[in-house]
Amino acid sequence: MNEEFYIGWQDKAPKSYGQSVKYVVWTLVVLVPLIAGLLVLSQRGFIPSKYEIAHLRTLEGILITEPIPCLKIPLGIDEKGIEHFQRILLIGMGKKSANPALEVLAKKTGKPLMGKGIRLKGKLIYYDGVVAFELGSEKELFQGFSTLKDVASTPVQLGKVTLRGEILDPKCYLGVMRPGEGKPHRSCAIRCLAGGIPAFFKAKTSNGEQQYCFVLDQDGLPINDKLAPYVADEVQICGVVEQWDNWYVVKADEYKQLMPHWGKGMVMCK
Amino acid sequence: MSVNYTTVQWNRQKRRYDRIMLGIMVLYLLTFTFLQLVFYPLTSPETLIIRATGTLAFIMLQFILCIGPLARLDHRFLPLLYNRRHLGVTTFLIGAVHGVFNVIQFHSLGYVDPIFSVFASNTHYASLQDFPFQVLGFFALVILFLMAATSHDFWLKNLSPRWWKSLHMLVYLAYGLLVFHVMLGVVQLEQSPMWIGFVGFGLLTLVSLHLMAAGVEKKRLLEQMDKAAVGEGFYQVCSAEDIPENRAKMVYLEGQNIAVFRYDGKVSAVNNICRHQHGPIGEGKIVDGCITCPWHGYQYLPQNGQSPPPFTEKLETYDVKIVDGMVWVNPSPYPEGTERPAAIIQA
Ligand code: HEM
Ligand code: HEM
Ligand code: FES
Repeated sequence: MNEEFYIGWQDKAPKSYGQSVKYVVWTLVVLVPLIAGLLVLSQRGFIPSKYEIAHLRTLEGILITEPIPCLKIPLGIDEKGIEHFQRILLIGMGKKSANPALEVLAKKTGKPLMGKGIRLKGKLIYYDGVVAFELGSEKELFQGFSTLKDVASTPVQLGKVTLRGEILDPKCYLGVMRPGEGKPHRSCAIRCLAGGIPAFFKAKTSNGEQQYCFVLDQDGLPINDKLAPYVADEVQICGVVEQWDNWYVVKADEYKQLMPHWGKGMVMCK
Repeated sequence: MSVNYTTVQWNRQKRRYDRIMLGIMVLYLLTFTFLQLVFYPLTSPETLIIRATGTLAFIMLQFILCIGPLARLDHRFLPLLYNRRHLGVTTFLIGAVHGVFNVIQFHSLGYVDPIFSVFASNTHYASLQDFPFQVLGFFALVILFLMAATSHDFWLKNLSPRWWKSLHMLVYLAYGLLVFHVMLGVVQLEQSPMWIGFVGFGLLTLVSLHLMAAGVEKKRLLEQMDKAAVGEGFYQVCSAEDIPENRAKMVYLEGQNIAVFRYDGKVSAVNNICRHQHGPIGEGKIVDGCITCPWHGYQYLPQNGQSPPPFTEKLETYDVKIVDGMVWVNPSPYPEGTERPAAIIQA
């Protein structure tokens, strides 16, 4: 009996081996694209968030540095004589808040920037009506002061609420990453919050719609470090909601009143 | 034959193996990219790269782990085994693209070192559901790196096959880590039965193949032990006629794994464990006068267990005798490479 024997270092494999390898290869050629297709098609999809990565723009507005850095863009005066603004969230480069770059700018111009009319260069990030602006590099950021004057807008008190939803970092969610939410993104969002990017909350309303708000503590100060462990989980936030121009801000009560990440039932608000 | 052996650095089969491997990989990546762009044009390019390379590396690892038991079950799968290390190294490279992109995307440009961030961002180490699954991918990648870095025969020799083999057993750990990496990671977001099925089906296939191969192996071992009957340190193995020309019978005697070869009207016995990667010598064949290992073609002379020059691998040898057409083997081994006279088969 002398059946064929395969030796890898020979130039040619015996016929019977070549035949079976051929079967394996053809099976793979059919199976591999099939697997690719099934995997691709079973993803749940991506939201149409937008990051204008290759498009630098200059925005003119009133600079607010605390507690949530933003540009207030004047929208005009209504018939009652009230001036309206759109707030655009300011964010630094990478996983960092806008503040360090703004501090550098304040030193350079020798003026406190809070409430100043200013022109800044950067890139827009937006989704679902919420707009953020990634500040350009130190060289290109400052495009001069403008004559715009701040009109202190009083926050509108909307009362105490209980919200359920997900804590996110607005930069990734609004456009820099797709997907920019959920478990795979948790570590990244924690990095962003640690970098001072304001905590953002995607609340689900009772009729299934999405409502966005920023999260501060009762005194209106950031609590990113306390919120970090709850990122990407379903959490409950209780607090007073205020409207700041086009933004909602929830002043969360105690950090205890967030739903624990391991989810032992709902904690009701006081 | 040694001329054959030394000059083989490249050959047609190897080139074809690599070409087919790369071709199938490209096929996967192109299909994935094309369909992703058609059905989900909103995907960011980073997500596309991360998902395409992550799934490809996982599928390749799965395939690599199936080759071993497949080749045990049916020798016609041996050509897949021969160049398995190319598959392994390539899997590491693809996995590294995935890992590096993830670290850049999710962990860089913050205030801490990106690698530190992999470990320190999500700290729910005590939770299963919220576990920082990236860490599992990281360690799997480290294991794949160690294996790729030591895949050359230089390391095999310097680390000794036993060490090398133990190191390579870590691939199963890497696989296990990756199963959890996927289940605790992207599956928590996508929650698609298809992704769970993808991991589950692969795991099931792998476990079944290994169990089947182990079953076959065990049966073979039991048969070998039944055959043996004792006499003056010699065990009766089988009749000389039972061994096909240029082939071997494998026996397991007193803890010795022995291959008994028949060739040119003679019978010789050597240790059954190849000095290269512990392949089963006894499933090999005598080619050009040399025992040739079925896995990667290492060669040994049957009467002294030595690889022909310039190679230096040596097997233990054993005494053999033939009485009334029956082959008897003494399982006390001679030092590696000791010349022992072959037993002559009387016509
Ligand atoms: C994805 C790309 C590749 C990787 C990562 C890779 C990796 C390796 C490694 C780690 C070795 C050392 C192990 C050994 O000694 O066999 C090796 C050897 C070798 N590779 Fe590759 N390889 C690749 C592509 C190729 C291609 C395309 C060819 C030929 C067309 C090739 C031909 C060889 C040859 C001839 C050896 C020597 C094997 C021997 O001496 O027995 N490789 N390869
Ligand atoms: C430093 C090492 C690694 C890190 C930081 C890492 C991180 C990640 C992250 C964040 C995801 C989710 C990405 C998404 O949203 O789609 C993911 C998914 C995945 N990873 Fe890894 N990974 C690493 C190594 C590996 C390795 C070595 C493999 C396989 C050989 C692998 C296989 C997968 C697979 C199959 C998925 C699911 C598909 C996907 O979502 O991309 N990972 N990994
Ligand atoms: S195990 Fe590689 S040649 Fe024998």
